[in-house]
Amino acid sequence: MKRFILITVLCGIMLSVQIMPLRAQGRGFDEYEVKAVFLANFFKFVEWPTHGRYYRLCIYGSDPFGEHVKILDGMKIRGKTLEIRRPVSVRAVNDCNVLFISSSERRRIHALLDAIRGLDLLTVGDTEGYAQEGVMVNFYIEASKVKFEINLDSIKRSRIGVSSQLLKLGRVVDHE
Amino acid sequence: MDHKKFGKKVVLLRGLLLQTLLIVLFSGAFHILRGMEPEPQTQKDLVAMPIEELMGVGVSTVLGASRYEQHISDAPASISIITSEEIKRYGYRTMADVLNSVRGFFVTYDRNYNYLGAGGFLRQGDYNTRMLLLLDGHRMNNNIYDTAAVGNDFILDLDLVDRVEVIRGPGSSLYGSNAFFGVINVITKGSSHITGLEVSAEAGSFDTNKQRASFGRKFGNGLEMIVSATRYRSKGQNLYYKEYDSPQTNFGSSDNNDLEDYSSFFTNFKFSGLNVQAAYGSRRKGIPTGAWSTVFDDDRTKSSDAQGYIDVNYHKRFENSQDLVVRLFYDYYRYDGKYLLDYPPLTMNKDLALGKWWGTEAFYKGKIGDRHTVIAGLEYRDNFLQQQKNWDDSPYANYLDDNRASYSIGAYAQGEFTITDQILLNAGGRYDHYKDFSGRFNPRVALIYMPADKTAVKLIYGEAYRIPNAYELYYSDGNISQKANPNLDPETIRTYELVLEQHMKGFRVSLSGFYYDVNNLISQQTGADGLLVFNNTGRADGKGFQFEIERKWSSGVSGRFSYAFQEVKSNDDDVDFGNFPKHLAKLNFFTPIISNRLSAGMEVQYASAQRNLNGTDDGGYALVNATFLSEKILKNLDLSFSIYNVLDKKYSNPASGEHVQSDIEQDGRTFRLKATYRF
Repeated sequence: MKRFILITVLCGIMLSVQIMPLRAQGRGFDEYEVKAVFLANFFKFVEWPTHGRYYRLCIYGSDPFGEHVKILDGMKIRGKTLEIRRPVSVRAVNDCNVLFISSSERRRIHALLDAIRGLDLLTVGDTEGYAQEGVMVNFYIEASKVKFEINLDSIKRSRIGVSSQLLKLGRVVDHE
Repeated sequence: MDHKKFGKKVVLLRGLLLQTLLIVLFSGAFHILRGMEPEPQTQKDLVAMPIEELMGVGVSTVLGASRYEQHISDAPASISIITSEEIKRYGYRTMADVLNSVRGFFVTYDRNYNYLGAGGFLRQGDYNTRMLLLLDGHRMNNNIYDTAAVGNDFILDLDLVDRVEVIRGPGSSLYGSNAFFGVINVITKGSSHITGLEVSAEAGSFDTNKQRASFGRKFGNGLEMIVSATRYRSKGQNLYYKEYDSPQTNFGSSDNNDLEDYSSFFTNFKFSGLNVQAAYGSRRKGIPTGAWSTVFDDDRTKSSDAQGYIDVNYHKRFENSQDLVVRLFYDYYRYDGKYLLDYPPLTMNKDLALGKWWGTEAFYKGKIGDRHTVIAGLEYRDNFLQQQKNWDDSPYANYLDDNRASYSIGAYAQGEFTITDQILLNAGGRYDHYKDFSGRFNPRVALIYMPADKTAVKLIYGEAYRIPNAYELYYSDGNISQKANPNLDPETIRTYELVLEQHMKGFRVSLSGFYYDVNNLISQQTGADGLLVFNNTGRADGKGFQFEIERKWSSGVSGRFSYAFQEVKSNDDDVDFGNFPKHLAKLNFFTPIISNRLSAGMEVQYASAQRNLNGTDDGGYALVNATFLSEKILKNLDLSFSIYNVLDKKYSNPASGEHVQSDIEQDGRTFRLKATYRF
């Protein structure tokens, strides 16, 4: 009986003791909650050639974020206000800064990238192969963590500047 | 059943349950007392984090939308994926456990091997020859029995599995022989999952224990490595078979004959496109059932399997998303069977099967324009040793010494054509030529219609075939129980499938129907001379439908329910096939109990009655399994406790022809405690 109590107490303590900060363990987060926050963070590391009062985050194609980007709408980043938009056609992406391209566009990705060539956009996706196709930043999941790959060529060819601090965090993919 | 033992078991169980409950209460109370510490439980907390820390936030990837879901809807097949997370959550010990949770799949056990059935099809005496098992793309079915080993004889420790992809339907259009009812592709963990040294220990019912040590590392120059070794021992249980209940055969008790042990080794090195993988596993199992007329209740009757391979592949990515993969492999397989027979006198009869083969494969993936993808490949396999022996030890008598060699050449191509934004055509085929068998072309065509982004309708037609293996063709034990049939022809299958997949917020629903038609079916029969023999037994057709719904809630709770109906008939005499339940229902449910500390996974598996070789039904069963999991209980420690067959349901699986028993009773309630520590 003594051993029984001892084991129970020990196990109980083990269950309760928190050594690591919880956030590193989290199982509760949806991947799109995390990806949304990443998107907001990207604004801190990118310079656009034109300036305005707003930062615009556009979600193109079928929206996987839903409620998870609500928190970002109206947020202040480097003195500017973040706006979320969901453009329905390529013509409406002109004033976007970050363009998230949903995986629903995977069969049109080539044509889409051709159509927006020359615009000052940080293109982001989360579909296998997007980075190779020319999307600048592409999320992937590794060991239950959100990571991203970077297409350096695409960034170099555009007029936007991406801080080396961000580039260091991503995995650089080969050419197109 | 021994009543004293039974009583002890109940007390032990009650104690364990009480203890678990107390632990949960205690830690829950402690948790509340600790009060509200700043924990990033909400997305708001994430926003406040620097990006470097954001990279370390764990996400739940069950149904990881971006990673697999899209692939699944584009794929020309109905696919199920079981992740390493689910393996942990539901306490799966073997591939058999994993596959038993998959819609429409069914695994039986005869205390020697595990047998896998799908689409209502599981023939007695078949060592999983109609399912192709791949490990990171490497073919695992051996070249003697064609076995897809899914029990403890599977070469890889389940802890090293990242995910299992189950691709239903004929896969011969890409993979050649054996991909008859489906392809199971097991994908191993990389050095991003195992970082540094990891050790794991398990203890379970019937003196079962397992230890594993793994080491993984990613070096600065890009080199990635994994090395892992596992050892398993189980004393097994004392069993009772009423068929042997007579004074000469220990009144039906088979004591200390259910032992099982295995050891396995796995290593993988990756360096800029080059991937070198080696694995070896050997497993020994006592045969407690008196199969093949062996002496009942004697621990000298055993089977041992050993398998190993080295696979070197190089993956080169070119411009415009072109890929080239070249693979070179060497495989080894050995079976040792020891059967104590009483002719009289008592004589040890032995089997030896030795297979060695090597092969090479080249695979290209490219694009035609922007919208179409093509893959093409060539494969050559050289079975330079296919040896089967059977003999008596003393007095020495040789019954079989069969040495064969064979080869196969296959060429395949598949294209994915985007017809419109909503319609995808996937068409492909493979031509195989095997030594001693005429060549055959197996096509597969799938039309995928996506009327809305989250909806996919697939219409699939495919053909597959299977070459009779060396065992079916040439094995005989001197005509004691089994004889050879070198005149067997390949069996073929045509399959039609209609699949509907629908994704909604947090939901995934899939509905499918299938019909197939098997020709030249290879079946084990008992001939007029009383000997087991494999024959081409004409035609059979099967039909069925499957339904699955999967849901993930934002609270971390997830669940999955599936139902499958299947029916298979022989076309020649219109008789229903047995050995497989007509109805299969599976429920998996996972819930966190105390935030991130403790969670529980539960599964319920129902199978309706199956008919055995005597033509009687076993009545069916429903099983409940439960696992309590505590991940990162301490910084580096995971603990889990599983109870299998919680209700201690007495149930059986139909036995094949080598048994006197028509059904083999399965395990009652068993336990497993598992701890994993990362240094």
